[in-house]
Amino acid sequence: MLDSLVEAENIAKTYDGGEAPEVLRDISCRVLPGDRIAVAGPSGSGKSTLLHILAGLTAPSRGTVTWPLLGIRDVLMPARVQVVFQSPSLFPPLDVADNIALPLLLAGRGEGARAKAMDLLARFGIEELATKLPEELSGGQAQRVSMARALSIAPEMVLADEPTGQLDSATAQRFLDTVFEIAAEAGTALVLATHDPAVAGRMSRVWMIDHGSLFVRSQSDGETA
Amino acid sequence: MMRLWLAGLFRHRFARVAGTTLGIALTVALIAVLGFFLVGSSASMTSRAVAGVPIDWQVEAVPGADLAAIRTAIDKAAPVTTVDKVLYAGTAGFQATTGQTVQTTGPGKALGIGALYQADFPKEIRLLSGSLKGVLIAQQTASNLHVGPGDQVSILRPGLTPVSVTVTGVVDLPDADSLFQGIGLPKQAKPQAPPDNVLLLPSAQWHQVFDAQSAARPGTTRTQFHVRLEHGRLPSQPTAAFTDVTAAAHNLEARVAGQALVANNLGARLDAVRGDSLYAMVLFLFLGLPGIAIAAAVTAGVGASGADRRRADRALLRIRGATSRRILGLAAVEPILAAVAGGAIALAAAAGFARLALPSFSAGAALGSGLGALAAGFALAFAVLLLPVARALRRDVTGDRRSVGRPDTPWWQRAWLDLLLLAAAGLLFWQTANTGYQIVLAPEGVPATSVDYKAFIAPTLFWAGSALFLGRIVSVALARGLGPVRWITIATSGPLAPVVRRALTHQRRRITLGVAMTALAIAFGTSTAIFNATYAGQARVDAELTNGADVTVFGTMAHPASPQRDAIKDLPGIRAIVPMQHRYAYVGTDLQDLFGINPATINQATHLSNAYFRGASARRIMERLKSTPDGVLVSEETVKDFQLSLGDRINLRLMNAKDHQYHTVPFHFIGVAREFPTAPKDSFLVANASYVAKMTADPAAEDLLVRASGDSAALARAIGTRLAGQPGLTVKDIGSVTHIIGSSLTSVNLASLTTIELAFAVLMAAASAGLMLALGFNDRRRAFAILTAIGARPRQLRAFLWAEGGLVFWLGSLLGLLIGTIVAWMLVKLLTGVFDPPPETLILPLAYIGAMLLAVGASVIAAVRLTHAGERKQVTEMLREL
Repeated sequence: MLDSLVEAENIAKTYDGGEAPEVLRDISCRVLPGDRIAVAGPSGSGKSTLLHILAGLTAPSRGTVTWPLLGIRDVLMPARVQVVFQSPSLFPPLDVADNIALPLLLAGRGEGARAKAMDLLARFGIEELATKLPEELSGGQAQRVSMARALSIAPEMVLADEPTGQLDSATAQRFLDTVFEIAAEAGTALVLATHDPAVAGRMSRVWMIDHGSLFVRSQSDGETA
Repeated sequence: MMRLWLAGLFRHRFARVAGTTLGIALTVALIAVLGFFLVGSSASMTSRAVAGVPIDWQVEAVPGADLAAIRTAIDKAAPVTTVDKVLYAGTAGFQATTGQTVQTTGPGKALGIGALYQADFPKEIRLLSGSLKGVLIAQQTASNLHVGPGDQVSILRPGLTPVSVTVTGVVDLPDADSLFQGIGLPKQAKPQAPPDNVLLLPSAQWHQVFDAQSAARPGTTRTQFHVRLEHGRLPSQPTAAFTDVTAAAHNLEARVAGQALVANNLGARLDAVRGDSLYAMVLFLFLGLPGIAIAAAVTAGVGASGADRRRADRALLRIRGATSRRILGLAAVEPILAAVAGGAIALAAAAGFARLALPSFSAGAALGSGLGALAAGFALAFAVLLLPVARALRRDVTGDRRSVGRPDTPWWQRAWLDLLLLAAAGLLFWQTANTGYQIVLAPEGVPATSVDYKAFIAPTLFWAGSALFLGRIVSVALARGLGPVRWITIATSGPLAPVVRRALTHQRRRITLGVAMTALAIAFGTSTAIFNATYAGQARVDAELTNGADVTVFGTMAHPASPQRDAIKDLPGIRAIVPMQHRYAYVGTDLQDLFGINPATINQATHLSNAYFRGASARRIMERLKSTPDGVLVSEETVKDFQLSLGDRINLRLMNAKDHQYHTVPFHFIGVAREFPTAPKDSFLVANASYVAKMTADPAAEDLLVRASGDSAALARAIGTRLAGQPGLTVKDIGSVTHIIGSSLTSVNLASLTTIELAFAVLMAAASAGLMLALGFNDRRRAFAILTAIGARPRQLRAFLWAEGGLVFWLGSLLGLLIGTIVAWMLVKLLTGVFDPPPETLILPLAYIGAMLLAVGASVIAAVRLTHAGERKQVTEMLREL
């Protein structure tokens, strides 16, 4: 479909050159502009792998992935798609503000990048972290900074892996409020892998992954497939 | 657990372990090779010195002594291989008649030698023409008397009738100083000049001529035993050999007390070599120790480049509850592995190299050095890899996990230790270099020797101060993004320069280490190369001073070389041929060498150093001589002996070609010469050849100085072939005299030492830059994967890598060249005693420096390219960890 940001058709993924069992099996899915999708499922079910495939960071072993509205895989990042990883993924030698500005700088939009980074930090309520180095941050702070970095360039799609995993529920809710607000302003689709039902509950759709297979559930329609 | 850890190291940390092993191998190999060469060079110095002595002992019997008893005493005092009896007789002179003229010399000496003497002591007599069987005449005497083989010479015996003998050969006596030395004179006595007129007779003939003289005037004849000792039994170290030979000579003196006197020529030579041996050790220390220190520092740097990974591994173990003891045990695996593997590789390489380069190398003698080097390797490995672990275990886990962090100002920077060290180095250097100190003291005849180790303090402090100062300025430049850092990042990173610069600022501890290590390794290579080139240049000047030019054709007054100029001028490989007169002139009663030159052209064939002259440069002195036709340059000793002042008129007596008699020729004293090509060290004169030719009616030049455009030895061979059959001419090239020059400069075989050091310097510089960068990059693969994961293009990733590589290369090279040049200048100043004459300027070996910088550049390029290529392959794998 030409209105999709990303569309996966019967994809499967194995590691170790096909020796290991498939992590994902015959999954088909798509993300539309402005989507709010939660990817849920037990640990090791393949949520992160699916996010990486949809972001174009890794290729499926079988099946096809296309980005009809975004272009070819090589041009997705940094401007059109951003990923927030589960583990700390800030660039260690740069301070927080520079880390947030980094996608803009890499995209050649460095003008005012640091100011924009400061603005985002303020919106997330963590402006005091601007000059801290990544290793000086707590896990929760690093997650918020990572999300701010992903949103800084106003991409069409952000794929985030457990973005609230290290936040308490109150902070997580406030954090999501800000994320939704900024994403809505930029028209950014959000795909969040999460274990937290509260987070999943705030999304318009939930993709359940179990043993490598995907079940899609609409919050309004119930389970569909 | 241990096996698991070891397997993990090989599987996942192989590059890091290999890097550290390489660093340890470099250090161990350098220590081992230096040790091997130190032991080997002393041994070769002893053997060369011993081989260069024509007569080990001259034992002179007092008149009426029991010669058989003296002979027996010699055999008992020391193991000897040869003992020859030599008879000496003083004569009132020699006389010969040529055509209508009669030439008479002043007093001379007649020697009686056995038939085997020339074979036993081949360096004493060199045949120039005729045959060695029969009466031989010294070339100067032959020239004075105008005689040659077949001519008659009358020996004027004091108080007796002259005796006529027939000359069979003309000879040169290269070792006349020693042959005619005064034996038993007090040490402070002025050396006795050899006689101007010498005749050598077979022993039986000598007895026929001089037995009557011995009976009538016993004081005019004497008997010597010329002794060669068994050299194989001498210790290999010069000081020990000197002690042994001196003790044996003392033993002989005691045995023949009142009967004979002993001249210990071998002891005197070894005495001189002791000083050279100490100089050699000083050179090894000055040039070698910084190399070892830098190799160790590079190893430490390489080890530190994997610190982040080790920290993370350690933190993981601590979080999982591993005890400190367990962590230390596991951490010890890597240094043991690196020390064993690195040590084995290094010792095998060093022994192989020494076996090729050192003829005197023996595994037994090298065992001590090898084991010492291996122990140093273990100590270094533990200091670099285990000590930081022990320290870290005292901190909490969180503190231990930090890798980038905000670098604190180190205590030494706060205390300004670097500047204090540099100031102290400058002060001590100024003090030692300007107070006429002697770094090596080996007083003549005294067994004790000493080295002024204080001289090492200034360069040591300078090295330490420079290393720390480097750390300070590079750190400040990175923190503030100063000029060079800004230029390099703009050049390497383009639009990303500001953010790259900020990233570098936070990694300044790591980058400063890389720059400092690279700079120190380059400084070491630069200083060694400059010192080596300057030393080699001076060795050449020294050799040229002895030989005269690249190739010199030596003739005599009877057989001058200048008529042969046309015969050789078309030979390939000749850049210039300059004739030089070598005559003799009487200064009062003293016969001195006189060199007649053309001051305008002499430098076409030979180098005239400013140090050869006193009071003005070589160029000014030559200009003065050119503008003063009757000018003469006089040696320092003659100036002192005759109380001469500039401008004085000097009357010299020169032989005139018309009547072969000495006539007075007026000269004007216009300058003082300390040294001059081919001139003896003590007394000589230099004048205008045209004036000498005019006043002696003889335009011939005895010598031809030849500047070669290529291989001097090959040219000498070609000239020798072309002049074969010309009597009285000898051809020598600069290389043939290098090994027999007695100065400390050429007796220390620096070439092998510096070859090793220069090769190591290139390796260390390349390892400092490339290896440290590569290991550092490897340590930060995750960080680069993050950049890729948020959308960095390959060229943007390269911008980060090139910026770091560019900083290490450019800052390391510039600062290294600067420090290296200063160190070389300090070394040359401090080791002035090694140079004779002292160098006028430092010689920059641009080819070597260029090659070293190329190697550093290539290693940086390789590190960046390999990292980048590896990064693209590994990014997918790394992403699974994100």
